[in-house]
Amino acid sequence: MATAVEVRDLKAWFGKTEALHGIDMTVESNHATAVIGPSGCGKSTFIRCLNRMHETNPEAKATGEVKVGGMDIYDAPPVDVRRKVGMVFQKPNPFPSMSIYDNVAAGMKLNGTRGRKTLDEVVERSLQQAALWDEVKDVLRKKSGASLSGGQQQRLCIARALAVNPEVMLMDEPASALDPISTAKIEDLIFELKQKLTIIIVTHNMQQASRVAEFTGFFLMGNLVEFDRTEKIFTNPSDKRTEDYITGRFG
Amino acid sequence: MALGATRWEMIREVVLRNARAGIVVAIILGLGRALGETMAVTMVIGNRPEIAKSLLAPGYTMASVIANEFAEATDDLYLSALMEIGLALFIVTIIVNILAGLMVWTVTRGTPRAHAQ
Amino acid sequence: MPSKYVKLRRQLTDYFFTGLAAGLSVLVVGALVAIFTYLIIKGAGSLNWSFLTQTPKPVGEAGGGMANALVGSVLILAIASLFGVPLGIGAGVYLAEYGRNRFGQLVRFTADVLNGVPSIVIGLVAYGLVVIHEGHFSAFAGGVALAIMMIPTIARATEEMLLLVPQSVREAAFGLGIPQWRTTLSVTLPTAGAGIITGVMLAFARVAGETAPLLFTAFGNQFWSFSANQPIAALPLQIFTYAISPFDEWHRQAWAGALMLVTLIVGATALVRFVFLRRMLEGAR
Repeated sequence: MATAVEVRDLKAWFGKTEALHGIDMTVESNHATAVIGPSGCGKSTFIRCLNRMHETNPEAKATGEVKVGGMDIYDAPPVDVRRKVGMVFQKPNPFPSMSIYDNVAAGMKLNGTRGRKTLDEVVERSLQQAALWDEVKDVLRKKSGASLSGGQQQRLCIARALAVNPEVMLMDEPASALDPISTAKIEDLIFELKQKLTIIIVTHNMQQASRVAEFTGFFLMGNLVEFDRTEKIFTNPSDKRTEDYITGRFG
Repeated sequence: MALGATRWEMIREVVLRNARAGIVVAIILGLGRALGETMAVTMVIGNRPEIAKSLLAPGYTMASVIANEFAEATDDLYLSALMEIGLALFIVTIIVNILAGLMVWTVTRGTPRAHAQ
Repeated sequence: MPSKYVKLRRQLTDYFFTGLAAGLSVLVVGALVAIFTYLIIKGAGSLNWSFLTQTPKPVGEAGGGMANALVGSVLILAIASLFGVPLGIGAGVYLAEYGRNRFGQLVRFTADVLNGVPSIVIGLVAYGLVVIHEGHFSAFAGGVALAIMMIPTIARATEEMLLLVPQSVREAAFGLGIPQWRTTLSVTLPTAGAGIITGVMLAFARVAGETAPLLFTAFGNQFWSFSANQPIAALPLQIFTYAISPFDEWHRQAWAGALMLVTLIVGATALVRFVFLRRMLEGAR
């Protein structure tokens, strides 16, 4: 199995507070890896370091090594990194001033791609991959991104992220703001997308992690306590803290 | 109001209290604006350069002086004098704004405004 | 348990202040209505085709109009907007996206001071900067004076509206690998668009009626002028000159001019609202 993301001794700070204390992790490509843990354990901070979103906060800092497909992301311009590593956020955030079409095309258009035909193809392909095409294909340019339902908006955001052809897709609790039906749709999507890219998904829902991911990492207070195949984590964890979390003793 | 206060009491205790700084600032700035109002005043004040005893007698304002006498300011000294009146008005404006800014600062303690979430 | 007396007093106080608030609001609206009504009564009679198409006639002759003042106002406002709108929006963008520091605070303070500076003082500044330099009055100088007045209003409104755009929208753009400047230009600004346009409209409406700064920049002109480099007539200026004159004929025309000015400002504002805001708000829904 090829390695998509390699993390060595990743530390992160918010001002003077150290939020991540040296994380080591290897993520396999074309698989889904779940990141679980109680609130405040650093899981969101962790994945935001993987596409350098963490540093958009003026008081934030990160050290260590993160390699995506062999490329050291702290060596390359952040803009390039983020085209390789896409992100879907907890609360769907389509661009309110743009139509559905423009939303999906935004990543390409605003990075210089021209050519109506190319854009059309990419938009259709991305919306198909996000299982949204059939629902919106007649109103692509007429409806704004913000006029869709919550579940549809999130799939729109996924399509938008897919349009720039990333290698890795980071998902920060993508279904936590959605109803169960939309959640199921998104989980189905993850199964499909795994074939083309690598997915790292933060979730507070342990059942979701066991449904969707082959690997799971358990975070606690800024440390990666245990990282292994999902079945092992949930049936026979090595660390007592993991076991306590899984069985619901805290978090 | 869920605690049983009347509408006025709610306004007095909650809304006005919190808006107090903003309201005072608005008053101060409004005064500043009115101080510099030229045209409306020039038309009705009578343009008499005296300090009258009655509020109802004609008078003059700094802004009106500049407006009225600019066309006659043929020599440099005259022009400079009018410019100086302008400077005086300007300084008054700055003072008023500093006052207003100080008021806002004491209430909000200078916390920088952040983007919405 | 509070006594019946206390309850009654609280209730009456409530009614009193509610009435007071309502009364004061009526007063404010009433003032506006009164102004409009007075204008219509005194000015509507004189608003005719010749008024709108002719230049002023010499003293003593009846007739003539403010056509050149209308054209002059349009020209001056166009020049003012050309400078004021981009500079104002640019300043607002800086303050909201890049200016959360000491320098930004200085800029903000300066903008607020500039907003409060009496318009006649700004006229003096434009006089010193442009008129003395060029050696003559001009529409351009008038435009510069008005632009200076537009900038703070537009900058503050732009800043406020940009701050209202949720950070999540910007993050979505960053996540796609879109650089900061492109995000601001193509995502954040359009999202704040409706509010910014409102700010521009407010600034425009305010300067459209300003007289004092034009007194010694545009200066006024009895004849047609379409050049930016010559003295030029403007509606507020013309109204002022006529109003303080001793001639009844001119007073009559001043009323007409005033009615026309107010109608034009209200009309322009309504038009922009209708054309732009409806489209933008529809998109957001």
